[in-house]
Amino acid sequence: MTQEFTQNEAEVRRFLLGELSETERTAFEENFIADESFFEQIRVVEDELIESYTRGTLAETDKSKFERNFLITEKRRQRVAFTRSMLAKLSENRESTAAKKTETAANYSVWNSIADFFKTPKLAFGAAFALLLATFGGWFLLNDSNKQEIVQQTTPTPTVEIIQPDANQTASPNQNVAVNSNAKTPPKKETNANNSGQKKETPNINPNAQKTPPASVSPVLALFAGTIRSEGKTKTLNLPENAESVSLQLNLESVDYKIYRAEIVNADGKVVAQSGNLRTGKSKINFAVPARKFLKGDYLVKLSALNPNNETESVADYTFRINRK
Amino acid sequence: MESQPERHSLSAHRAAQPRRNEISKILTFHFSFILLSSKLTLILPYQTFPKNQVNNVLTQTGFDKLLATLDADRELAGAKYEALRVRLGKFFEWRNCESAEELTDIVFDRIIKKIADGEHVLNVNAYSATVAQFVFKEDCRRRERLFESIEDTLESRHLIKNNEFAETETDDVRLDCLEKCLAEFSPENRRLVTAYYDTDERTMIETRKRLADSLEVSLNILRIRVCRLKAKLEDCTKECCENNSN
Repeated sequence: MTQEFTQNEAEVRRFLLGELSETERTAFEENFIADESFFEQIRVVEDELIESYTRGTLAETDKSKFERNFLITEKRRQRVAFTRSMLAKLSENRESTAAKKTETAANYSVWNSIADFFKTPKLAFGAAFALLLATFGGWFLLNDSNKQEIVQQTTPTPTVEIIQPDANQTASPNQNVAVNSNAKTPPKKETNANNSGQKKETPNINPNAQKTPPASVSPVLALFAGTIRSEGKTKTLNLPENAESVSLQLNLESVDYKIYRAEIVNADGKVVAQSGNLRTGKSKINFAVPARKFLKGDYLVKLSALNPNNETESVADYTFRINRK
Repeated sequence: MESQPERHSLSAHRAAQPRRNEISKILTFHFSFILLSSKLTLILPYQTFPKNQVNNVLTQTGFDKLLATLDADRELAGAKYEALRVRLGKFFEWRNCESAEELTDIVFDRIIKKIADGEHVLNVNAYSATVAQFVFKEDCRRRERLFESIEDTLESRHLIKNNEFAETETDDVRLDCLEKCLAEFSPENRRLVTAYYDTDERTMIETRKRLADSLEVSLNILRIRVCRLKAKLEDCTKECCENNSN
């Protein structure tokens, strides 16, 4: 973890995992009994080893050594149990804070954002100025068209270009910002000879309006284990560009354990994210994964738990697909 | 158990500062504990040590000599004794001995005896390491004899299993106790422990480095500081859980 301990740290880990020979061990023990600062280093490494085991970040070989050589006294099992409780307690606080943030983000409607826009004094001033400009502009155009009407009565009707919106531009209200960005496509131009001559301008979607960075979102994906409740379909999440994280909700058939651990594996079998100390709430486990962890493709959530013997047991697998926009 | 050495130890430090009193109390307690545990070895069926050893060894003078060997300043000697005691305890614990405390007492018994007999121990730490190795080997032999006499019956296995399940049921109590103990910490220490552990696996190293930077200490110092706080929290939680179960 740090450069400072590394010289002794490897040896300390070997000692704690029972890898030292009897001669090495005796010399090591004499050292720490005589040297207070060396002893403190061992305690730090021991604590971190327990923490890594509890968080599920120990390498598989170290994990089995830890279980075989370290986790063999009641006192140490209690230390692991304590560390697990402590991390759970602290992550519980963190998750509740994160959940509040997600909830706030979910309740953040378009109207809220418009309201917020006007709450900012500088922007409110700008908006008022724009409104004033539009009023004067409208008045000026009205005057100008009145003048044109007078001219048209005396001059021949010219051919006028009619600008029509691209089919993509008629965005449905359900489409999100990412879809609307297609408005950047150049508009089709048509010449209508039968037109009465008036220049019709259809509501043009200003691409500049979409340059405003959209609020980050955290889509929720509810997953069911196996194929019965999931109806045999792979759940697909269309992940918007502005997604900050993905909230995964794992639904359990039954709650048999107190603390769970989830591992997200991509199609190549590589672990992209993992989380220990997950607790259930009404047969559901909720946790958030940073959106940047996901590329387009299939993923598998491997859910496991520790049984009363401190052995990891597989609980369920959940599959899902990510589509990146 | 009121004893002459105990009164002597308390009276010698009655007028001293609170910190000094605290150390005196600890020393008195440990001296009493050594005496008690040594007496207990007399009635335990598998005791390893000669019965007449205790009476020769455990005198206040012997204990005072041990402290004097550790340091001329009694307060510093007390702190060194405490630290050595912890290290010896961990030595036995890391050797997978369930009765680490008792074995540590035995080591001190032997050192005190040696000093009382007029032996000049130059380096108590190094000497205690050698004694601890011997005590450990003796304990191994004792355990071998003990385990031979215990039958691995189905009934005993069932008992172990039940105990393990009972242990998982205490999780909620532990969480409550943990919260209480954390609340007893100073706001500064509470924030430190929370900030140190409130991280995920991915960002852990960076978070801790940033925390060390913000406190203007090295990561090494931060790790030691948090390790000590965690040990305190663990002890407090354990005590609270025990009180709740009683």
